[in-house]
Amino acid sequence: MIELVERYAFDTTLYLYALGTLIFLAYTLTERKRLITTALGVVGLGLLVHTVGLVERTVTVGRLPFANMYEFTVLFAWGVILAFLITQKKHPVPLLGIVVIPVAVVLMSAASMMTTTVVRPLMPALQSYWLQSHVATAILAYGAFGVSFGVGVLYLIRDSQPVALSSTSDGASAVTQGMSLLPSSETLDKLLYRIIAFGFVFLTLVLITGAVWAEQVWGAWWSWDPKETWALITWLVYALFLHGRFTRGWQGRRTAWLAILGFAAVMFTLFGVTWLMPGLHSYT
Amino acid sequence: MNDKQFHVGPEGKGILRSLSSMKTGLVLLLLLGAVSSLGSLIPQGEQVSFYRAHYGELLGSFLLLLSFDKLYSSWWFILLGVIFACNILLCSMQRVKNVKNLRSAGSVLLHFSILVVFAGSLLSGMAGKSAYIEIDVADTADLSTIGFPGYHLTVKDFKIDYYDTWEPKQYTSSVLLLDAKGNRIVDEISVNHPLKTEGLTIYQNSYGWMTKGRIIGEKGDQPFELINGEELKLANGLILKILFVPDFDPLSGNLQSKTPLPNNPHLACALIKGEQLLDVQIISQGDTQKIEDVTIAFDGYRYYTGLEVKKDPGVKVVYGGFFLMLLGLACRYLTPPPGTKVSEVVQ
Repeated sequence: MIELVERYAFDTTLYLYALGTLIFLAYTLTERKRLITTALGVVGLGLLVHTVGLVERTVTVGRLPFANMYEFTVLFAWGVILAFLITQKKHPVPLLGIVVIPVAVVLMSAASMMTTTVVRPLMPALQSYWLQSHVATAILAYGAFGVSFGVGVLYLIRDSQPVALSSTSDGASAVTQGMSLLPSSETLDKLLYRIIAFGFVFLTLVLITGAVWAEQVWGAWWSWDPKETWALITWLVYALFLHGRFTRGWQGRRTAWLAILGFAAVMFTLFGVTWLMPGLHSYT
Repeated sequence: MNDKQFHVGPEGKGILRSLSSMKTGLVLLLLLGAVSSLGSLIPQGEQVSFYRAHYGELLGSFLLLLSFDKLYSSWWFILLGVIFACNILLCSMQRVKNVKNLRSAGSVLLHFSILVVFAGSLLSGMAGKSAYIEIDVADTADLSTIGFPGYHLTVKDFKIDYYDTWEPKQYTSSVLLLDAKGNRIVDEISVNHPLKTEGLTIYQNSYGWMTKGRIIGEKGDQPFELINGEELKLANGLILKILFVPDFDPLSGNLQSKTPLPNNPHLACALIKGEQLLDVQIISQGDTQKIEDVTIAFDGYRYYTGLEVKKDPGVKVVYGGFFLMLLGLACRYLTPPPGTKVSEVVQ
């Protein structure tokens, strides 16, 4: 019965996110502003059901759903939608939904195909308070990176469109002409920076909590395990983004591509490493 | 905008100038990422023959020549790290002069903390040591044999806690550690809960069964103690291979243990000659059985625990670096930029 509730919540979440994407798509075609509110409402409802499903699982298994690939993939999608809605509230960029919500849909679909929905008790290595902080910070970091991926894509689209420059009183800033759907590339760049800075802080916390935990459980705070290595590579890519943004010759499209490359590294760390490279982080 | 400042290049010229430039830093970040990913794609720490077989004679030899088989401890990878550290140091030193507020102080601290972590890992590499040891329950090991003189470790007990499904919940060794000064430390070591003393840390790492028996002969008995799964070479090219079955199921008669608990301990003994399996017998504890011409007695069993013993002065430095990193992150990202009002209103 309880598993049925979780299953039902899972499916409903997936449908609501897919529906939200479709409504955002309808908005881009019709440009009716009311559709934005509807789409956000649907996605918000999806997040609510998603949360209910996670709480349900927590109650069923008697611990936070932080322990295997299925659980983390569902949490990842949750983090992406949460970060999207927060971004949307602070800096509304409606087109963002078309890129970011499908990321969550893909993650949820991938989770539904995983065979590890079976609840197994925690192995000794995972019985640590570090598990909670390690995974919680990862959800926040990965959620932010999911959104930054979307902003990076929008930046590249916006940048390739003709822009009319006009000077304003406080200096030169890009002013859009005939572009009602996307903000200026300068605004997108600023947004991209803020989201990635947030994600970077939390990714650093993921690495530190992981290192302290590894020292406690394996006696080595760093072992160049493939998962560790790829988390470090992800960190290096985003460090490159944060520094490149202030360096001549690295700004604009190149940093936007770094945001996309960074998210590719995130996805590879999670799925590529787990399925292709054996290592210490084998909790599938 | 405060954030929009370009990094100003240093005065001077030559190597120092390029080493302290931001562009060099970016190239180093890219290089480190690319090289690290190579290390995850090329299997590390395999036999020399593996690389020649897997990558061909030419490429395999080339990879070995450049230590791609132990990339992360190769001289050139460490050199790359040192160059990167120098770059961070020189960049940060230039920016120390320009620290005006908590935000820029946080940024400098953040970069400095990376150097501390790096220094800590170098210290670990040079002064840290760790070794694995297996000790039978009730035995005492002299840790000087694995490079920790002055320490004696007694394993008083070892136990496994199980879930209802017989999946392991926790492994715990009860130990007594005696150091050179004669201090006695009585403690329990379990997964995620290592024993920490001044300088020495001991981790629960592995476990297994140790079985005890005798080969009974006319001229007297030959006692043996074998780790579960081990082999014993006998006379005439015969090999005895044993398997401990803690909870033998007489109904099924197979060697699958009913539970992991020693409820009905049996020893399965196989006698092998060359490639040929001569016979298998299952002996209950306290019993004696004849396999072909060999008579074997199964006297007892006990756990052994596998512990990792470590002494690493670098860890404290690394943790100090982590602390500075957290502090730097908080100063850099939690304080609002002074004098700038962020009002990015879209549309």
